[in-house]
Amino acid sequence: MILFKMALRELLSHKKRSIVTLLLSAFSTALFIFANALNNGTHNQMIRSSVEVYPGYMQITNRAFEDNPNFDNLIFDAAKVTNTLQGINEIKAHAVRFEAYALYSTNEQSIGGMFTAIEPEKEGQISRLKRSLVEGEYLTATDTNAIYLGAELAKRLKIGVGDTLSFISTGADYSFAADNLVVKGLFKTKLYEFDNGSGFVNKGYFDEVMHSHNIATHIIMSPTDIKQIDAVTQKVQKALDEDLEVKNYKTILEDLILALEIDTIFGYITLGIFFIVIFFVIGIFAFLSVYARIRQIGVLRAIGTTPKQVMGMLLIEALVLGVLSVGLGGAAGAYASSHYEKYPIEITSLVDVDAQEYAKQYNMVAEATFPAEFNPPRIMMDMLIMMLLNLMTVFYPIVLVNRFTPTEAIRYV
Amino acid sequence: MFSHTEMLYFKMALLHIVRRKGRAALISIMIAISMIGLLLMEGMYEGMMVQITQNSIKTGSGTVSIQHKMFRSDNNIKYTIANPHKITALLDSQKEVQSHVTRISQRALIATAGYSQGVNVTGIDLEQESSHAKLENFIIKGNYTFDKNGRGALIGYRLAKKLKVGIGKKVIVTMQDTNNEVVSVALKITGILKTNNMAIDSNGLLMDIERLRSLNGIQGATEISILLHEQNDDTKLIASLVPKINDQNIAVYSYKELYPSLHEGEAMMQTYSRISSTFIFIVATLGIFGVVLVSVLERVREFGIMMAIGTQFRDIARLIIYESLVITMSGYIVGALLGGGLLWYFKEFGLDLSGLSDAFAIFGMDSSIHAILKLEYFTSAFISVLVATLAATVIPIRTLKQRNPIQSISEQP
Amino acid sequence: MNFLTVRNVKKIFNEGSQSQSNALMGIDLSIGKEEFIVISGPSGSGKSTLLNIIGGLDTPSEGIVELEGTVITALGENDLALFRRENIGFVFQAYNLIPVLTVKENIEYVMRLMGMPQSECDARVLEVATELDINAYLNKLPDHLSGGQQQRVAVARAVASKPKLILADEPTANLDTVNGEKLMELMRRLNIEEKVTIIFSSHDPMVIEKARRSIVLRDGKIIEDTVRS
Repeated sequence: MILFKMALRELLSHKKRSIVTLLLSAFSTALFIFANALNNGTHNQMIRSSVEVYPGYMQITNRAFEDNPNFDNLIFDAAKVTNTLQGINEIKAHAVRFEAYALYSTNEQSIGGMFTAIEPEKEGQISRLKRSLVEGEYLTATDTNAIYLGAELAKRLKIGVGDTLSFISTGADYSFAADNLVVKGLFKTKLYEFDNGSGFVNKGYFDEVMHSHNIATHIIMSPTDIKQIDAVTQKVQKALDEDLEVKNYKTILEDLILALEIDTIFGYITLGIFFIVIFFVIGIFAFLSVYARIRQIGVLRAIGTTPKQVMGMLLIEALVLGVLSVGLGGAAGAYASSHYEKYPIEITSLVDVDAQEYAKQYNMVAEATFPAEFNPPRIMMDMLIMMLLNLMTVFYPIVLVNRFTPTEAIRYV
Repeated sequence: MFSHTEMLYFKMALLHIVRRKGRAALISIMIAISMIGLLLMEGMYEGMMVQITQNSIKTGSGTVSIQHKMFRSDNNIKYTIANPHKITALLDSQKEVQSHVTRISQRALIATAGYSQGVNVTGIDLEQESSHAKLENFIIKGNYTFDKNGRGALIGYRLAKKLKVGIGKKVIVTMQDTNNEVVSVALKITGILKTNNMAIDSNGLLMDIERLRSLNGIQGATEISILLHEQNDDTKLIASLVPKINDQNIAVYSYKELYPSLHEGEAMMQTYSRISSTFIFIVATLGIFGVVLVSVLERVREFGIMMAIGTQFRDIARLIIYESLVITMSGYIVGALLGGGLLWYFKEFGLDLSGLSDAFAIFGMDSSIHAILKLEYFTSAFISVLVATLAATVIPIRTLKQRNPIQSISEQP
Repeated sequence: MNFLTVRNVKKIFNEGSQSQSNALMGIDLSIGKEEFIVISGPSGSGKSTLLNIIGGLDTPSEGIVELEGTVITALGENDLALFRRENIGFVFQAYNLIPVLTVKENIEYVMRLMGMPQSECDARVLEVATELDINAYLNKLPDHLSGGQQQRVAVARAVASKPKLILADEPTANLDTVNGEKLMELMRRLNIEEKVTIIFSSHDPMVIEKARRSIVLRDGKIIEDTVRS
């Protein structure tokens, strides 16, 4: 108790030094928490966008489809799979797709692109395709000869909603397939390549012209709890026949996730340089404060304070400063994180010039908003790390002061 | 040279530093570490930016690109440079130009037995490209050839992976000709490219320009790509070219316009480095300040004695500044040597991150990062350390003056 | 059995180096309970070194120190600290009060470390403070007191936890004659009333003559050990 009192008084008797230390540490904590929150929030948004725009969180394909994506390697009994999926609680929604390629033609232009069958309503639950409508209408389960077309592709074909185009493709039985389609709606996902090369039709209609009843290339699923995705993936795999393969976005978007990890590492390197300097300065202040008291500590030791108690006293000082500054910085960081989770940072200059070009160049989803992530356990973890860094700053001073014998310390000038 | 008294002060400064080596070491180490961190950050980040830019410039549109003014917004083969020879003849007489190539590029559909997707087909002249940007160096499999009959093709490694094609495999490329007729050609893969320019790696197919001409009927070119001896001569060249070409339909772009993300990235990186280093030096100033203040205050009596025997306060201030400079500059020298050494190493041998090369490629980087080493890094850091040190001594010197050293001699120690 | 035994204690500083100095060259001493002893001698004679070794602040190069059956010189760092806390009170030449603690807190510091309940601490502080006439400043910080006042607080701190032995290294050196004399009378009274053994060093003749037993050191050896009747 008396040691605690001494620690407090010591801090109060050097107010300026304590305040500078406190502010530096609080600033670092807030910076650390917010940088992490922004990094995670932005990355999660990128993953979410990339996943939800079209690929989906989980997918089922024929095991041979990845190596040979041809019509010999399809899901030939889609109904059996979807029945199985209905019995799995961890799967929130699922939808069947048939991806094919077609040559789209108008009077002026012929352009190749993806020609994909979807179940319109179910698709709306597993991807953002429905929400990406910019003009006209989305598909329904009763549509025939109606196409939901990427806005960039429509621009290149020079057609709009209500116009007609024809397609030529190969059916599931390798027969020749062709028909006329009316543009029912246009979509824009910000994924440039996708908007520039895909069209969607109702699967009921598609099955007629492509001879693909109950056949699918992909079955897309979204899990109830994304955090459990690996376990769910395994569970679904076990419930299915051997010739089908279940994958989740971590495998599908491996490159993107790795790229984001590298981005995170670079972020940490920069933060690391900041923190080395900040905690060096905090450490120097701790050193000077102990240094000025070597004689006093010698006296304390002489009248019966053990080296452990001296260490305890110095740790209490660091702890008090640490708790205050980490608490303060933590609160600021948490507030900023939650604020910018609700109201993401917008960099409008990026919308105009950069994002579009960048997205075109790298085929990524163009985002001009940078949301933070308010994740209390993560923030607590960050605060704990900063607390440990704070305590580490008295390590050298403690070693220094305990090197002296009490008499040496008392005589030290 | 230094006067005799000056040398004496210098010696005193050194002796005092040796007496209090612990804290001097802390400051030196702090400065050395932050120097190393900052140098690596600046050099490596700039190296990355240069690499990304170079990858895009070399295999893409060059430092300066000449196109039909509509081609950029609408990659339609209507928009061609009708008479490229006239322009290339002009370029040959411009001394800024290092090399130039003429290309035709067009959107097309690429198909294997069971899979097809959109692709950017570019018609090139292998010899021209070789002397332009040494394109053959980017071949990772196969050979730099289109075969004798011109039926060969080079494709990006990501595209090859996606299509599951290797050397010797056939692909069918379908496109429109100038009469809007659909034409197809079978090409044999002769080489696979890894350029780290995503446009080529995941979406590009290169074929013989004459063969492409015979297919799509284009007589002119869609692009003339130019590399310069000095990258910064872009605006100068553009200014002199535009009036000489004298054609309303032809646009001359700098890479800064074509890849605004790269250019902005560079600018952002520079601002970022500048803010980081300013911040770091402000924090470091606080640390230096703490140490100088303590070492001045504990010697008030000593300075009093010096003044009593005739030393001017000005000289004492100088002594304090020398002392601080010796400490900080030794940190600077160590940091500059180690940081510079590391940067030199990474400049010469690169930082090999081949395990992560696929992820780096997303950013347009090679698996090995080569640092940039500029004298400017060291001079600006020198000025920063100097300013930080001088700023840190201002308050201690003023405090010393207020304490009135001479009077302090008579006080109790 | 003796209260305190010092046997063949030698202390060599910087052993083996050029600046080697023999501070103590074989000291033998026997001290009984409740003695009031002064150690005197010119500066550099080894007074402080001897006091430090007796108090367990410093270790001898050779020899042992034994206090009531405990061989101090055989204790480890931590045990030494606990031993000092329980058995020895120190008074320093430069007072050495803890600047951030009030007078009262300074006095009760050792008792608090020993885990004494607050009510007992308060009672003891009051008792000692009344005895030493420092009641008026109990809630002040040391910086606000005069040298004489500070040294009385230092004595109070040393005596408060009822140690068996008080060691005082030149306690009057920073005080004027009047205050020095007052302090000596006070220590003498404590010696009798609190039944505490006191050993102090000094080279002030007026202080030396207050002691009952006088030990004189020179060049690290005892050259005189007299008991006044």
